[in-house]
This record gives sequence, C-alpha cells and structure tokens, in this order.
Amino acid sequence: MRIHVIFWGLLWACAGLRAQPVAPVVLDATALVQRAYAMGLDRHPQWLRLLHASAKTGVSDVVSPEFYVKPDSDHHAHSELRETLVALLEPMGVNAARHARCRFPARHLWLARQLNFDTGTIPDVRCQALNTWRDGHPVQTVSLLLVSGYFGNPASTFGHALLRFGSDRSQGGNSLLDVSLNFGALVPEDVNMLSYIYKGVFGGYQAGFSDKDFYANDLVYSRTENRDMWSYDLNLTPAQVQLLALHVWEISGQKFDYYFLNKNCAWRLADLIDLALDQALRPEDSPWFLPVEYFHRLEALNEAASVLLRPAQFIPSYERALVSRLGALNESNLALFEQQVRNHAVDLDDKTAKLPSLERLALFDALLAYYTWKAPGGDSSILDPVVVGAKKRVMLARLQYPAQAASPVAETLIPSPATGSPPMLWAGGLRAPPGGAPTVMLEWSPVSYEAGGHHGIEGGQMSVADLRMQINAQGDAELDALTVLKIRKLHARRPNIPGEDGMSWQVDIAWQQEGDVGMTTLRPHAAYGLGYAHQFAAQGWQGFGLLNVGVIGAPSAAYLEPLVGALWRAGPWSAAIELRKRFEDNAVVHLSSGVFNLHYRWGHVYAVKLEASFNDRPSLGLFWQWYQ
Amino acid sequence: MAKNGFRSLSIAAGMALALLGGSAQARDFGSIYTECGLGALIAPKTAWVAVVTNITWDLGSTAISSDLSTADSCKGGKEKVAAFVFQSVAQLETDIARGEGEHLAAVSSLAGCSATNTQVSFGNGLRSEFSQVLANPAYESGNRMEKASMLFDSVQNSATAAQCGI
Repeated sequence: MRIHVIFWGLLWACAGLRAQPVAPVVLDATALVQRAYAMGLDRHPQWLRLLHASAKTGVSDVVSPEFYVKPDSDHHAHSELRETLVALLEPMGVNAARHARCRFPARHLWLARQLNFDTGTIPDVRCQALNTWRDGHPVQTVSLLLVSGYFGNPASTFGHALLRFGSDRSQGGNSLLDVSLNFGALVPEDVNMLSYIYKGVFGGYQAGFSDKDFYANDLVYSRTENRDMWSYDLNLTPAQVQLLALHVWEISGQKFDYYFLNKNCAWRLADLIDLALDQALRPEDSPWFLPVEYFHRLEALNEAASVLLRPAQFIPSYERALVSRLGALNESNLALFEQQVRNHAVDLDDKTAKLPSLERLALFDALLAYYTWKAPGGDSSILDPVVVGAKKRVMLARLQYPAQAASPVAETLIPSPATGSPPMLWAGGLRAPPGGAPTVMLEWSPVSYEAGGHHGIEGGQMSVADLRMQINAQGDAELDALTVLKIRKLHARRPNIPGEDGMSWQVDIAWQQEGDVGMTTLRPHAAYGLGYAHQFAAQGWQGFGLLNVGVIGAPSAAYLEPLVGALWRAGPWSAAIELRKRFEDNAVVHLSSGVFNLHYRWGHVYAVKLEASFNDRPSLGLFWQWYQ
Repeated sequence: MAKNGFRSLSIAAGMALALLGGSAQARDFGSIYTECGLGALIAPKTAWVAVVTNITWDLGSTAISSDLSTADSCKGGKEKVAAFVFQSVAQLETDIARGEGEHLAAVSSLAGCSATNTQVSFGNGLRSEFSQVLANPAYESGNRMEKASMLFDSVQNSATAAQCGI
C-alpha cells in the first residue's frame, strides 16, 4: 500500500509530529527503558493497541514472528517495550529495511512522543520501502466503511467493516483509487462448508490485514455481492492520521488467529480506530462482536465528541443503483428495457432513434448498467454468450452518440444500520390470554432484528439465540420459545429488475410452546421458506407471501406452511402482521396462527411493543424493550 | 492445494504470454501481469495477499505471483493502469461506451490525463479506439485477461495521443 499524508511535509515542520523534544534526553537505552517502565508505558492502552495485546494478559494476538523485534519474542507487551526501545536506538547499519525504525515506525513515533527522545525524522529517511509506500497516495480522509450483511457466505451474514484512506477530492482524487485496508481469514479454496463454519467459530484459520486499492474491494462488495456500504469519515488530526498510517505499515500482512464470533474484522479494525482516536470503544473482552456494534459505539461517541466529519455517507450497491436507474425511466422506456433484457435482441437503433436525446441516453445507461450488473467480472469465457453479445450491441449503439451524461438519477438514501437499534435485545413485559391472569415475560437475544423493529435492516428479520421465558403467578419459570436462528430476507424493491425472480426466503429453527393453556408442549421445528415480497406505492408499506417447508417434533411430522404478512413503518412507529396455517402430515387439525406487533421507538435503544397473538393460545402482551 | 494452484497458474501464465506475445507495446499487459501478479499490483505491501488474490479472486484466467511483489518494475503508472483495467473490465467498457463514469475518470487519472482538455481528448480517443476493439470478434469471445489486454492497449494509445503523462 502506498500512503502519503499530503500534509506530511507540513507536519515535519510542526511541533509534536516529528517528536521534537523540549529538552532532548540522553539516548541511553537502559535509562530509557527504565523510564518507560516507571511511566507504566508497558501497560499503557496505546502501547497495548500498537501491539494488539490484551489489557488483561499483556500478550499480543499477532502470531507472525516478524511483528516482534526478535522472532523468539514471548509476545508480551512488557518485554516488547524493552526490545523495541533498545532496537530503536541501535545504529541503522547497512540493512536499513530491517532496522526497528523502519519496521516499527508507529511504535517509534508513539514512544518518542511519550519519552521525549529524538532519533531524527519519523519515519527515518533511510527507510526506503516505507517512504516509497507512503508516497504513493495522498491521504486526505480516513473512513471506516460498514458493509451490509451478505447471506451468500456465513461469515458475511452480520456485515463487514473495512478502512479507506481517501485522497484529496479537490485535487482530482478518485475514490476508486483510494487505498483500503481489510481484515479477513485466510481460507483455502474449495473448503468444506461444515469445516469452514467449525474452524471459523472455534479456531483453525489465520487472518490478517491486507492493503488493497479500493476498486478491488468495490468490485467484490458492491458489484459482485451487491452490498450497500456506509462511509464513516473520521475527524482525525494530522497527528492521528500519521500514527494510524504508520501502524498500518507495521501491521499489514501480519497474521492473527481468526475467530468469526469475536476476533473478526470488526474487532481488528476497531483496534486501529481506537488507536487513532485514543479511545476504548471496543470491549476488552466479549464472546461476540458484530461489525455494527462498533459503529453504534462510534455514533454514540460522535454525539459527545464529534469524532466524525459528517453523518455516515450511503454508498449504494451496484444493484441498488441499477434499480434507481430503472425507477427513472418512463413507462414506455421501461417496457422497452424489459423487452430487451428478456430476449436480448431488440433493434435498438430503430427503437431509440425517435426518442428525445436524454431519454435515449437514460435507456442506454440503464441497459449498460443492467448488463454490467449481470456480469461484473466481464469474462466472456464464463458468461452466457447471449448476454455478452447483447451488451456488445448496446455498447455499439451507445458509442454512436456523443459522450454525454444522462440526467442524474436520484438515489434513495438508506440510513446506516448503526442509526437503528443496536442488536442485543433485553425485554420484559406482561402477556395475558383473553380473560386470564397475566404472566411475566422476559426475553433476551444477542442479535434481534425483529420484523417491524427499528434496526435499519431493510425488509428483513434476523434473530439469533432468542430466548423467551414466561413466569406465572406462582413464580414458576418456563421456556416459552427459543429461536436458534431466524433469517428472513425480503426482496421488495420498486421497481423489480425485469427477468429476475427476486425471490424472498427465510430460515427458521426454533423450539416453541404449543397447545392449549395448561397442556402445552415444547416443539422443535426447522423450516425453509420461499416466496415473494412487494413494495407498495404507499410510503412505508411492504407485503409478502412465503411457503415454508419444515419438520417438527413432539410429535414428529413434516409440514407445509403458507404465510402472508405486511410491514408498515412511519417515523418512530412500525407494525408487522403475519398470518399462517400449518399443515402437518399426520395431524387431524391444522394450526392457524397470526401475530400482530406494533412498535414505538424512543431514541436508539428503547421501544415499546404491543403484541397480539392469534393461535391455540391467543394472548395480548405489552413489552418494554431495551437494545444494547 | 496451493501447490496445484500455482501449477495451474503457471500454465495459465505461460498460455497468456504466448497469446499476448505479439503485442506491439514495449511492456504489454501480459508481461506486466505475469511478471508482477495481480495481487502485487493491487496490494504491494502484503505478500500473502498477492498470492491469495491471484488464486481466489480472479474470475477468469489468472497468472502467477512471485516475490516480484516488491519489485520497482511493478510500481509504475503502466502497472497501475494494467491492474485497474484487469479488475474493472466490465465497468470500464460500460463507462467508455457512455463517455463518462467513475471508472473512466479513474483510468484517466491513472493514465496521467489530469488536465481537463487532455481528459476530454483522452475520453474521445478511447471511445474511438474502443469502437474498433468491439468490432474485433476476439474481444467478444475473449476471457477477462484477453479483454483487459486489448483495453489496456486502447488506454495506452489514447493516453499517448492525448499527450497524457502515462
């Protein structure tokens, strides 16, 4: 990666950035080490962040020997401090690249600031590779990107985070040419999915930071996986940018043990942002850590300390941009678009000749966007030749007209998921059957994005390990439901992309009480459903219909379950209704059920929910919800 | 697995060299790609990314990567253009046809066409070059690398004609 802080030259002239001491202290390594220990620098949060070390143990998580001054290091922050200081003060020698000042410029910078010693410019001018690396791109901004969840890969379900170093746009900088820093597991090709999940959760993979030009990540996330992104532009001082950039040099390519649930991309990138901000936003220890959790913390800190330059900027996926283009076409041109993409052989010259210029351009642009969306890799050898030929004809037709931008297309701005409710749910309330005594209800889930909730997940639902208990008047506690996993993905975009099935789907694995009051049975079930969703013209309304196929226990049966539902949202209010009927293959009576939820949200973390259930145990409940 | 991957990559690279050996450029796309490796071009600091990228992120044919990832010969303007063009074939051809777009702006910048007049000249020249490229049946049937090679030549020719600083 090539990072260059444009104000770098200026920085060298500024006090504090080149560690300029008020009164230079003796460069005696032993004395310096003693002073560092006396100041407690080996336990200093910034030193621990520079080493990616635990505050509890002081041991670094980096497993690469190259990350340490000596390959046989014990990886401890205490001993690494001594080794680093001694190495920094050693003569440069002939192999400058191997010197600690060239390998660990961020450590050098931070220690020089703390201990007020001067070994010359940081980074040292003799660090040729480092200086070449940072000279490549001018850095104007540092942004943390939140990438939306992707259900095509288990490891991407809860979203992703990456860092982007932005160039000066006023000087012609192009965002695609920015440098980005990613953290991911090194997973072999063609790995067995079960092995992948097991090793991802329990360990077995290594992971690391990688620097890449942003267009390479854009191709993967936005154009291939069609994931929206939100850019959090950090309000950093030049000194903070410098420390971060130099640390990126130190950490790029170094390896860690990877754990999907906590020691993941969000955890590691949080280390970097915490280092730049000198904040402890990331929890010291946690059994899980979702990318969106860190962004919630960033949003909260921003309210107090303005750590962001501006509200999160929405970067629509390529698919969403295509849908916006389609939405800008008039009815007749949309029909022409549909005709072309269904048979790929419309005589475009003839059909578009009489169109007004801007309409023609808008149609061509939409068709080009469609074919690019269909084949983002552009490799004809693995694509449908019909699609390749169709795109070629559209390009040739477009090339006959001058280079001119079509009318700008208004993008629908989707708020960041981090402006919705945080993922962890705590809830308590009362639920009562008609005319019956109320029971106390308690609920907890580490990830609860309910249908109709204010979680910022568009048209979807996701619950993991959702535990719901009921406590009756006698004080007896009983499991009401345990949702192991429920994911519902609704494709309800307006307009739909012609020719695409746009199917919605859901997975549901849970234990749930069923039966009459006093004779209930806890029944496990697992189901998969497919169907369609629709975005109504009326603002905030969606409808959907799904057909679930599943198995259920106690007693065992296979079942079919059609369901229909609707969602509505307006300001702090939202509502969801679902009606379903389950046909079990060995049942005499088939269960009909329904549920209606009405939410009112207070701020980011509180909500009240009214829940009415219509089934063999009808009830009405009122819940206080707290999201953390 | 990585060993097998490298064997097939080497074969692919050899084929690519043979395919592209006739290019008129002093250092053509095939040479840049096979000598530097895609990973080295887009992630020069992280050696293992160079390897992983070449193996897993290519959608079509691929090439070998080696310890050349830090070679100065892989850090020039042409090499950056080559990497960008390879990664952005589908997006770039769309932008060229339209005559505008962020990928066209990016390749214009990489090709050294920073002044407004050279940008316009470069864009118009590239559209003209691309019309000829599209007329070549080999482009339509080409894999990603072959397409990238032809686009790369078009970018170079247009940048030279527009007197950009590539």
